[in-house]
Amino acid sequence: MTTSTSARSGAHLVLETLEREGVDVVFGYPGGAIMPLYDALYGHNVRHVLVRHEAAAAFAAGGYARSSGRVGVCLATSGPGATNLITGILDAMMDSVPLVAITGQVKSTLLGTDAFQEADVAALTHTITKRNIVVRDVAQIIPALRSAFAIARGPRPGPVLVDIPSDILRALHAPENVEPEPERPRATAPASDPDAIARAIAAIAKAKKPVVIAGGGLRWADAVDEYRAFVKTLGVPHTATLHGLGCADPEDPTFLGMLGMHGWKRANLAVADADLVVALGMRFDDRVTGNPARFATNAQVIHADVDASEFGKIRNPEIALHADLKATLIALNAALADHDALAGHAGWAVETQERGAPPARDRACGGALSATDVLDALFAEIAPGTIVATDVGQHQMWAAQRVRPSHPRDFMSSGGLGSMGFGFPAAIGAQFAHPGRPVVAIVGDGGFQMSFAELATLRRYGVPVKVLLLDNRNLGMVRQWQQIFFNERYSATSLDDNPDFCMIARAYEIETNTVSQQSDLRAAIRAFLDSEVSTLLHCACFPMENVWPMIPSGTSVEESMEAVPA
Amino acid sequence: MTIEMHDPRLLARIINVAHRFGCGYTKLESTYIGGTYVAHLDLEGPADALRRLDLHIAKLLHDDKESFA
Repeated sequence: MTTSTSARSGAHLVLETLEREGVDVVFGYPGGAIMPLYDALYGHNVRHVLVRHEAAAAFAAGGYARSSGRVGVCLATSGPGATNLITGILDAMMDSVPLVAITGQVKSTLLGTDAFQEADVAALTHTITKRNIVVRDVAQIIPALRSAFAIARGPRPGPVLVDIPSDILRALHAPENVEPEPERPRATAPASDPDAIARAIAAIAKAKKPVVIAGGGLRWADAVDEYRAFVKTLGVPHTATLHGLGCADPEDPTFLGMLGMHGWKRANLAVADADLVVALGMRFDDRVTGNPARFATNAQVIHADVDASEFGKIRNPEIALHADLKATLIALNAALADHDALAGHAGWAVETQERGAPPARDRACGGALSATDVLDALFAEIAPGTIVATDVGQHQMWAAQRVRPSHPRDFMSSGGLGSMGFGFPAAIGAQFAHPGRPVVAIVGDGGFQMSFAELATLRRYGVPVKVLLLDNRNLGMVRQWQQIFFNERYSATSLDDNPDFCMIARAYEIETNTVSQQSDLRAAIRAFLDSEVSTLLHCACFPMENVWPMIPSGTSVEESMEAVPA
Repeated sequence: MTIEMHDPRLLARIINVAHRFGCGYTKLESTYIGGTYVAHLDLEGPADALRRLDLHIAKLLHDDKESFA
């Protein structure tokens, strides 16, 4: 790390600041306006990973952040490079992922002139970042980046974009303070309110049918241990949103599985019958609540979140706990330890567990290989601690129904935005954050075709990400909705002209295998997981398989479907 | 309401969010005073949306303050 008082270029100051913030790897793609930064990267300690499309840079940085809890960093040039980051930036905003995007910009003197590759990326990302900063003076590079990292970290994490004109990257500056500064911490989260905690404990003690819902906020608050202690002390049934999966101990029998549109029926029934919902770091997303007016209608709600703007956005809580979730759970656990009048919930917990079997294989598959067969085999064989990233669509929901991660950072998915093309680059980002751990990307044939240029990234860096491709030759989730809600008018969802995916992967010197028969499945999955190099397992699956159960959008668990209506 | 900010672009963002929440504004004035912008806004809309908007603006101002800490 440079601590010299001599003048350095803005680009070198960027890299020095990244180092000070603990950044070890960045994901990006070069171009004209950001060339000074790429020149500074040449031979630098900060490792640069070249992806093959800027969207993958943002998703890979997101995967790095989701799997590690650290800030992910992506780089792109001005204009098209910057606009290609936008989906990944919004994805980070929707899922509260700490991300810093650094974009090159045209020279300061050309700003606003429609110069070659000029885009007003600050305006374009104004509503999808926590903050964006256009650096107009080389002396502002260090403070701009340091505040970007602090804001990205939280209290509620999210993306920040820093846009730097190329002349500012070239300009020389000698910072006065050359001593390495400590990392700026997350902005202070509010402390828990003892009165609100006491009211929450009183409500919990009184409840006969409480249910706890774990959300993604627990992951970012690093509050998983506190969460497990909380639900263990209470002995109550608990469920999770997509991003809350992994908060529960995988062996905990009181965990009911995922909640929501494609969640476990028993989880949705438990919430429907609950007289108290304790919602921790979740935001009552429409894929969780269906019709909010019919969600948990018998229940009081205790809502704990670090972001006060979540309270009452969808559901007005009777008790709002506005504080850092870890502090909230520590306070709740301490109060519970002193409480001797908790109602017994063992009967309620057992009752909820017995209401509904795990999500089942679609009967329509008959003897054909189903995607759920593949995922059941995968999760039966997968080693604890494996990081799993999914893309978006049917396979995402099938995986979420079945995965039992040991930590929420071990399972990642584009939840809020639902960005196809996320899963594969996110898995690559996670592998760079955890070089020694197994990483599996579960993708569909639609989303993989939005991202398979990153096979080149696997080959270049030798990262052993394994790709499980569930190929049903359809944009399956849209096709499912067309089948059920649009009179089987299959508009633009057939992918029956899919390429030979294995041939494509082999062109990048990636190992491949194909499975199309149930009888070959277990062996294929074992070989896939045992491989020490990047591998593609192509699974030729039944094309008309649906995700069950399904609570149609805007309805409630009473309308839950488990087959196509006759 | 009266708000103080370092980055005047926040006003545009607040107006965007207000419209997204089903609110509008009847008055908007901003003055640059000693390194900060002081803005007076009269927002209107459903009470629940205005309450959410207040919380959202507080969040934006928090990050604005953090940027210049």
